[in-house]
Amino acid sequence: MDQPHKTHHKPSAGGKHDKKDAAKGIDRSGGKNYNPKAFIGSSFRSADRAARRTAEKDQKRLHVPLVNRNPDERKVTHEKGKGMDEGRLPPPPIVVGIVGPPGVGKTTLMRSLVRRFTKHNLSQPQGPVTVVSGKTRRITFVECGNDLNSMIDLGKVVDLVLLMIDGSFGFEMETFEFLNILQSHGFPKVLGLLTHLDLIKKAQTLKDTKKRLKHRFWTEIYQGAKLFSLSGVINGRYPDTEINLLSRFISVMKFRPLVFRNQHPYLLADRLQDMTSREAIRENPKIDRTITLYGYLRGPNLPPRNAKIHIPGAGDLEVKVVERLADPSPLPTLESERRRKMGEKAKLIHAPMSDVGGVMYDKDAVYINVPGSFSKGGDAPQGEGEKMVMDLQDAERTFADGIQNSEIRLFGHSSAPLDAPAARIRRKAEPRNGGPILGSAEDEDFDEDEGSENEEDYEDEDEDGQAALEDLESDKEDGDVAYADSDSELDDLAFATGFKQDGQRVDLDDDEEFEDEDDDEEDDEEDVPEWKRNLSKRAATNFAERMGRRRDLMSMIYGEELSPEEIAAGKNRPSSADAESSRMAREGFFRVNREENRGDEGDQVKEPVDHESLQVKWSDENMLESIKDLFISGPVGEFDENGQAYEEEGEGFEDIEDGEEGEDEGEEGDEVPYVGVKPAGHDHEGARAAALAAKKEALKIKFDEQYDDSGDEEDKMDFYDAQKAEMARQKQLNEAEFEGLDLDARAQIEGYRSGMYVRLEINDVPCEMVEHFDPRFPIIVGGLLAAEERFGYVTVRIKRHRWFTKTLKTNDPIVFSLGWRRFQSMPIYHLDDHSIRNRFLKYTPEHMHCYATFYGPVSAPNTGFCAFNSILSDTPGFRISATGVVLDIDRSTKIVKKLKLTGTPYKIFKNTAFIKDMFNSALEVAKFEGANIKTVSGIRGQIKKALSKPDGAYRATFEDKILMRDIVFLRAWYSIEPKKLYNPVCSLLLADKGGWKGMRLTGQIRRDEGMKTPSDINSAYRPIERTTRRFNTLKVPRKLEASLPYASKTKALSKQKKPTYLQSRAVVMDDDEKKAVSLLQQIQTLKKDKVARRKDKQEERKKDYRKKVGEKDQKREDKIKEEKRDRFRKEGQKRKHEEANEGRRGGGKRPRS
Amino acid sequence: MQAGPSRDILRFTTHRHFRQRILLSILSGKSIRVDGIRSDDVHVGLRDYEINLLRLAEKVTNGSSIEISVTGRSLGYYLELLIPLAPFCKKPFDINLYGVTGEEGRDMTIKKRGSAPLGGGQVIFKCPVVRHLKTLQFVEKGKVKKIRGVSSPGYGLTLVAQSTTSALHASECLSTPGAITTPEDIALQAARLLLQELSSGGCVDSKHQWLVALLMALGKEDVGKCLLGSLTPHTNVNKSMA
Repeated sequence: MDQPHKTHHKPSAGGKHDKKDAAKGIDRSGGKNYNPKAFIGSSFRSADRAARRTAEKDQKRLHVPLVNRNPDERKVTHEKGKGMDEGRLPPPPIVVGIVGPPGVGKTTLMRSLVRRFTKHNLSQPQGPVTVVSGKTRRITFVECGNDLNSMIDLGKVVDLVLLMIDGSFGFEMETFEFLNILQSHGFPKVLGLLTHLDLIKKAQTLKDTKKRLKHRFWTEIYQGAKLFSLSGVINGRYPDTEINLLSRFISVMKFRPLVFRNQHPYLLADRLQDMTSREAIRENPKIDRTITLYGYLRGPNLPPRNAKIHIPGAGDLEVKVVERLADPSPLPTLESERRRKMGEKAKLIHAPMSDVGGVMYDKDAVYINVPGSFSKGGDAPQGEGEKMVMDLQDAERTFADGIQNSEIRLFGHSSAPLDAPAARIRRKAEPRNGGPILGSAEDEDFDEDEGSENEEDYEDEDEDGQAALEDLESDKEDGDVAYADSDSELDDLAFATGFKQDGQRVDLDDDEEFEDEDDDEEDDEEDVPEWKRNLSKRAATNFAERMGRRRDLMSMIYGEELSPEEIAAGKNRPSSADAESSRMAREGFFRVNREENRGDEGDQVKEPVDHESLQVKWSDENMLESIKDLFISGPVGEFDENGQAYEEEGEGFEDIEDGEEGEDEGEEGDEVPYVGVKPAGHDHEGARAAALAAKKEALKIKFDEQYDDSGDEEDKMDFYDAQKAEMARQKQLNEAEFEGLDLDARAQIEGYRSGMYVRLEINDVPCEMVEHFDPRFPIIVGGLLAAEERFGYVTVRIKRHRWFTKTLKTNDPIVFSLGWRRFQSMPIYHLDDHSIRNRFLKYTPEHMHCYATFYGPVSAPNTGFCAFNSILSDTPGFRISATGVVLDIDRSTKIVKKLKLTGTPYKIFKNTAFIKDMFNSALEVAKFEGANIKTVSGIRGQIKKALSKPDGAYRATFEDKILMRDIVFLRAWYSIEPKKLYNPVCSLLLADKGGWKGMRLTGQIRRDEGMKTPSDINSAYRPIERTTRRFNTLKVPRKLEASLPYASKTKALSKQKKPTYLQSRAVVMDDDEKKAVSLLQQIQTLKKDKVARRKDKQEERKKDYRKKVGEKDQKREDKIKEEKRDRFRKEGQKRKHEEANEGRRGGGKRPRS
Repeated sequence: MQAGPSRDILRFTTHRHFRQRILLSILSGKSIRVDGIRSDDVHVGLRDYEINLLRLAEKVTNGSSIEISVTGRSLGYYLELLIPLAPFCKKPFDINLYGVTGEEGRDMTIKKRGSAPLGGGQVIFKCPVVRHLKTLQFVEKGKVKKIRGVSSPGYGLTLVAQSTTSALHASECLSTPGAITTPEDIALQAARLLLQELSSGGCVDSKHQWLVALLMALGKEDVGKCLLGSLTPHTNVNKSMA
């Protein structure tokens, strides 16, 4: 048999192959599969297209550069020493909102995802659940209920939305509403999830459904948006493979900062605790509560003191105390994570509102303890370091006590360091007036009236610790921790702010020494480790040395001991006389001594100049010499024997200066040739050579800058890249500024940063918030900017939503969701009228933007908002009534409404007329003198002067003579102001969170109360009765008639009674005519008959056709009926199924409305 | 139920730091009330120029209400209120001031100079609206490279020193009516003042410290740095109020 030969294969490797390559000149060094021909365009067209494509991609990449206020995610490298940059604060967990209608499988998804990330089975997840999803990322899952308030609030904080859609049912109204809410508040990322696909049995239907839903989803989000499908539920969870895929998507997703969130600090509270004393609540159950909220901070820094916040659904509040807590779900450390995969121990979960098992009760809190997280276990301490920490935890007394008893003064303003009386209480710092006050005057009056006021202020704990301790015994442990930090933070504060002026950096090591020295005092009788001994003396001497030189900017600026004049004069600490005046100054924001309350001084920028002393000072040659180096013509690179003198002079003259000067020069010395002071004991020649070299170097750099642009990267960057580089540089600067500071001290200066887990203590919270607390409704703490607590008239560009069926009417109250807030207000709609005025509109235009002005909280221009007529869940149809953006904020408005005043002339001269009935008094006329008026027929005129006789009448002139029946009118503009209604939607304070009812419309109230609309009888329509007008016949006297010319004579108007000639004559036809007529008649008859027969036949055909069509219709109708019946049956089954499910879950769900 | 924002009025006494109070009140949108103005003086109450200042403030703002209960400064006095306000306005600023110049002078042109008592000077001040203030990084004061001066009527001299990093220090000296001073004396005094300015260090003139500090405080939440010389009382007041 013929066997086919094996076909020839060209060698793809080996010597022969290489030889051929060499012959053809192919270079395969780029890789095994590198084919140089593969990607070379063959035609001009494709090359062109490719170029266009790359250009388009380049442009698409461009977005407005935004600074990300959250810390960057850490980068995991396994290089030695680099690790996972652990020292830095990691970003806060990503907030993933699970949104969808009830019964779609949100809880199931949450359970599946939590199980995927942590191996925990949550039986009933409630509130935010934070999990560690990888070495770099934490995720907070939140389930969003189906009520509009939750959707609005969560839409403002989520980074990623898992939008769940019931595949067997399709989209629901809430889904679209949610998407539209997202759109108006900055669009976070959205992932679609189709569930209940197992209910669709037929493969083709499933495919079609998926395609249909996908395309609908795409039109809402963007073309190609990701849509997952989740098939059935196994063991109460979704299939592992599908969840794995989804989790991978979530954990690598990147997020773009959103503008609003980049400007406002916010927090998604994962725990709420009522701190009000039980006794107070027992006495008055409705007392305003003190609560604490816990959560990760996001966005820009939260001010450490008196931060203004808004809790959507509860109102505007003020944070009393912010406290940083240990991260409850920290990222794994390098030590624990040497492997590629994340260890099981690092997979933590933090879900205080859910039942995770292992619950720990604290004095004021409940902690969930999951094995793997840090806890102070029962093990004996291992090394010395651990023992130290344990010692600190066991300390009996607070750190403030320690300071009290330690007999050292830590700060320059304190008097003699080591012999202070033990009973003295330090003055409480008053954070209300600014920053933490580091210095303190020993003023006892001060203590007595101020000391007990704000016991829980963080500063106070340290300064006034004794009192605080007595009052708040239960707070002992807490206070202890705070005290331990606050010392170091105080010193760090000084370090952070004082160094520019005194040039003396405080060593961080010093801090530790101070911290320790108190323990020394406390634990005298105990067994004290070696390292704790004898620290106080060392520290005290260190401090005394330093404080002499130090000027503390912090206390100068925020403190009240020194008046500005004294600071300028260089005083460091208040004298005893000053203490008195500063005590007076304490009450007001600022107060100057009363006896000076006269004259014109007190508001000048310029200081009074003493020319005499100046003359003396600047006639001194040495003095002039000393500032020579400030001029470009001054000494460069060298310095003679005057150097020493200069230094002294500088010291005496301005002690702030010299440190700085020295520092400057120290820094600049390397690259810039300005060397001010030569270091003592240096070789003169060597210095000169070095200076010369430095000078040359500087000149070279300058030359390069000017002529050599090839090396400069900044120049090559386009605007976009340059902006980004600038932002990155600023971010680095921000970070570098406070690098190395203790975290808490840093927080006091720059605020609490994003990513910190904090506890916010908030006062005066309505008791309903605690009483009706429901973990299923998210509590969001939104930080407010300084301007945002103010109220004013907000002008917005607004458009009625195209899916909202009614038009919006001016002064109908609507609920706005703007910024963090949800509130009801009454907008006035208006439009720009020829750029002259803003004209009032009664209704919103049909398909057009218009403006609206309402009274409400100020928010920055360009902030998006959406509005609702009703937020109740039983509202039929689409609930978002309008969307728009803030344009302007004002304290006054300029909206006008047309007003026409009418009058009638009562006397007319040539072009002048007297008009009445327009005004009521001469005064009113006087106000309108010179105003333009017009008649209906268009004759223009002017008001001249009021007349004395009928009140309000005036003389007017017109361009032509007007008629008595003309109506004269005056076109005026009447300005209107929006009504000042601000009604926050306090949904969190209600027992039924979805049942908030705002101000109702009059019609609604009438309907609800069963009242009839009052109707004015005169306004009612009546049938118009029009009587037919009868005109008498014209009768002309006979005599007149006779004298009229013929043309004007009245014609005979009576009817012709006799038949006319044409009617009365007889027609006689001859034979031919008769024949013709009869023939015509016959033809007519024949034709009629023919037509009639044709019609009959057509009718017969039509009958058949009609019958056929009828049959067809019948069939179609039957089919529709059949389909309907089918659908209703299916729906009924589903409802039954759901109800059964609900019964099983114990009524956790609301039935789908 | 409603936890609205606090709308308390800040209360002050005495006439001191009048401009700062008004300026910061406008910028922060808080209401203020000042009592006891010159209660110990022969003429109790506001001076004419202060009332003018209030009128000016009312003119450049809207929705502000100023209430004065019963009881010839130079243009610089008014300008110092306007300059910090200008960048935060809604519309670009363009204002003509007529009166006494000779104290100090974005686009600001001194059309005419005039000295007390008649004045007759004219200053045109224009400022665009800025979207946000740029974060300042100014810690190198550089070296003085040139000094220029302008003399003004009624013998006066303004000196401006510019450094390599374009830091400006200014001084000025005016003849005081009554005291007999020669132009040479005035020049010397102005020069000495300038030296004093320069020697006190910093990248910013002592007269403008308050302005720089204020605008830095009003800027973005980024870290800005500026090297200042010794603080003047005026700056200190500003800081404690801000």
